[in-house]
Amino acid sequence: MDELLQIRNLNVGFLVKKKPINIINQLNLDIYKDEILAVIGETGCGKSVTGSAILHLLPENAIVSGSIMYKGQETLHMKDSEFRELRGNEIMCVPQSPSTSLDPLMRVGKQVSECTLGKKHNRTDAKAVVKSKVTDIFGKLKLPRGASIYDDFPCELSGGMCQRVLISMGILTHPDLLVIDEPTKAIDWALRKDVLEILSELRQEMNCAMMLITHDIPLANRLADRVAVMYAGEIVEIGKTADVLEHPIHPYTQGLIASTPSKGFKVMKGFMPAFSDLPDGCRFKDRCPYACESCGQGTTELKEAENNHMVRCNRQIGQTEEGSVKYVGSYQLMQELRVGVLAK
Amino acid sequence: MKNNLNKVIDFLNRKNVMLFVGGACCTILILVTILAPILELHDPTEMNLSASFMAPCANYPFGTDNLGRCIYSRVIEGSRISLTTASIVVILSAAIGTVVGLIFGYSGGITDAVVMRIVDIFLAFPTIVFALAVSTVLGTGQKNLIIAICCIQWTRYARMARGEVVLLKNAEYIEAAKAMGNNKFQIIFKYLLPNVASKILILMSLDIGSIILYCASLSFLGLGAQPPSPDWGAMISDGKDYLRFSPWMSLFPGLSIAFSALSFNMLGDGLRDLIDPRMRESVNPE
Amino acid sequence: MGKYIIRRVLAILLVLWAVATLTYFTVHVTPGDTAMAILIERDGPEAVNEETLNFIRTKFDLSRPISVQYFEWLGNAVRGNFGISYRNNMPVKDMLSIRLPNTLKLGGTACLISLLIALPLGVMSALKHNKLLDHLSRILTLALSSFPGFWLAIMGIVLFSIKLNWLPTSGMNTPSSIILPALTLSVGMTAATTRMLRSSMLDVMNQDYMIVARSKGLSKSRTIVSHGFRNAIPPIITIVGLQIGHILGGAVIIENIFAWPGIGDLFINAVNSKDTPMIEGCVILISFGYAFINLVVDIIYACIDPRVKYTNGGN
Repeated sequence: MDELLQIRNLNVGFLVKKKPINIINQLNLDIYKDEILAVIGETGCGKSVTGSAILHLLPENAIVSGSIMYKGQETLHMKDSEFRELRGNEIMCVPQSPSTSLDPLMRVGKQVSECTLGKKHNRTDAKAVVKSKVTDIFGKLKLPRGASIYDDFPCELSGGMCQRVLISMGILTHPDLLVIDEPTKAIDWALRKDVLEILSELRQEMNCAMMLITHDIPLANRLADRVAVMYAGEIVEIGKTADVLEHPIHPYTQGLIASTPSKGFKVMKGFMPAFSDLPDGCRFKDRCPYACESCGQGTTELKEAENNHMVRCNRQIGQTEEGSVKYVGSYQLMQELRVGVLAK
Repeated sequence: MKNNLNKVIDFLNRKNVMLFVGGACCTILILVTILAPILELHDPTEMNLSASFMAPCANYPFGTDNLGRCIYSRVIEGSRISLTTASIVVILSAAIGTVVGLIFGYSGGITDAVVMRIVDIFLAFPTIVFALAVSTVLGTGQKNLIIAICCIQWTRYARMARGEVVLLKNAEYIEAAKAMGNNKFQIIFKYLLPNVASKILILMSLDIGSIILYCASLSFLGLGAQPPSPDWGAMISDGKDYLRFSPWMSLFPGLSIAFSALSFNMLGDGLRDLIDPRMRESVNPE
Repeated sequence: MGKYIIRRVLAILLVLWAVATLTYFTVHVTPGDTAMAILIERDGPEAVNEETLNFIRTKFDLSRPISVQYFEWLGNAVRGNFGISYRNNMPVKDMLSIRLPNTLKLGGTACLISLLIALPLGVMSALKHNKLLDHLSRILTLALSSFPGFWLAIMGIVLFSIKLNWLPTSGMNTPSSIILPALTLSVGMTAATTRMLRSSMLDVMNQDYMIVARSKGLSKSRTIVSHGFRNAIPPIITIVGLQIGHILGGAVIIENIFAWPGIGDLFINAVNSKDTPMIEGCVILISFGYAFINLVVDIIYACIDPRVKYTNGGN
């Protein structure tokens, strides 16, 4: 598969009162052509920051290092004017919170068409052409009243309609990479179904890679080809959707899935550590039911557990005789631990 | 040099300098008002025609006026008039305006419309014009000045409080408060007032400065405290006729007005920066 | 939109009627014999005799009941006729129409100066948030808004007219006469507008839609102009409307200081000589101007901000 986007050793921090606070730690992530990668994790784990880093939309007090390659081109150190050729054209995003993401004083149609009309090199695009493109997309997204919505203001639309306007903003330029930030956040169940339908239709129609940032696990399950699980600024597990969500290895992923309503609503104990006060060793160890002494020191690396299924956990590292990495179920682990204790 | 400048800017950014400087200046002002009799070198109303139009000197730090009165002592005494007038006006108009704005803004409907029309009527007069018109009826004097300014000023608070309430009253937490069985007055005073209070407080502290200026303008026109009371505005007006040879007669009272208005403006500005969190930077990783 | 404008116009007419009535009953109904007061004011106490008093009563229409007087006065006032000045026997209407252009000239110049300084300064101050320029402009505007305009005017006369002899002290005989009054009049509005624009811009810059605009690939400057500045404008329009009221009020004093022959100067003289018809005429004219400007402001606001229709326009 072709890598569209390669993120290598990405670090993102913020200067808060002159002190840097590191949010994203040594992140490695690939997004392949035409795939949907879902990034899941709880609020504040750094999902959206990763998205903003890809789009160069971090606030001014952010410190970024590492490398983000797009189509083999390093983008991290591009000047804003250079990067703008990509952002808003080949790389697009659908922002979260539709109610505050639209300019209240501009007609929505104009806000959408700004994606192409607002740029210098695109003056040739006649306004009428863009307008018909926009109304086409509005129709495709089943916005009621289709074309007439073009001249409405955001305050005249419902939340779900605003969400769809934002989605049409994202797909107007037929991007190669679409970063969708929390599409189902603050949306009721019926609308969530709509958004899900729209996204799965888009997936079939458009040849476009999507990075789906969400904490909606069923949504990720329905749409994504691969899933990455983030915890406290690190990827703790990544792999094919079926592998990660059906056979989770990392205790955090297991906990996340167990906490979904359909899987029993079992809430994990504890809270994510504050970024200003991260523990040594594994960042999850304080909440981990299987934490042992070795989790407290050094860094836990992301290692391959199965084919293309990477996990950041000491527990599964090749401790079996064959030397190959094998998933150790919790029951087995408990057994092993007990044997270990008895042997001592 | 550049480095030092950056350090200064950095300091200004980190600390709420406005609040500290404004607070300090206001404290000085209030102390001056309280200690006025001790600070005065001469009786502020004592005339000494042989010493008229004296330029600032050791005995008369700010010089003397056309009647030979000590301008320094008059300026010190004038702070009492200026500050008491301004604080009475602000407290009175804020109290009236806030209550009216909250109650009618929350109730809505016809009463709200009527009250807001009344507010509009008062707002249709520029303050000074209205006060001048009122003075032809009430006559001059400090009390009438306070009434005249209050008549206009309460509407600012009423409008502000109403505007906030109209925005807030459909907010979810107000709906929640209603659902919890709070009655109208509980909602207004327990849930809406605390949300409006900070803005009212900021408006009050910002208003004192402009009210000091209004009072000065009106007493400059002869509407405020009557002679021989040492009112700053009236002193500037007295000095207006002698600009050619004794400009200090107008200079020092004007500087005192500016200093007190500036102190309260800085305090208000600092308070706003402190209370209004929107102005501060925040970091949101998600 | 049309409905909104009609509603606003009707509301303003109502307000103006209330303003006129309030003014009439506060100013007109003074205790004591008005005819006597006029006579003493004009010719001194020794001129009082029954014949002259009767003459004045018929001339200024003072003998009939106040309610009759009020309705006749209101009917005339609608046509701009405020009666005859007690002081110099000229129709108030004519005096006002001679003086009005001068006040408009002075006020208009002051507004223009304010906007020319405030708009760029406010935007730059917000864009250079917490930099040197921002701090300088904050300190400057804070200081300017704390100085009384009339005192600045007097000090301006001392410095530029008396000491340096650059500008005339008063009147409007030379083109340079307007500089000092217009500058001192504009100070308050400049400071208030700059500060408001700065905070309004800062507020807007933190909004989500600003980041979204950047995500569309728009340049920083275009984002600031078409989304930032545009959203910062509505509060500014309101402030400008209010500040024009301050300019009208300030003009009363500034015109008096500089002997600028405008409405304000006329008004102060009328107040000092208790010239009731003239006071009424001035107050109503100034309030009318203020109300009219605020009507324009409201209409512009509604044109820019569609949300107005949903919060105000409903009923």
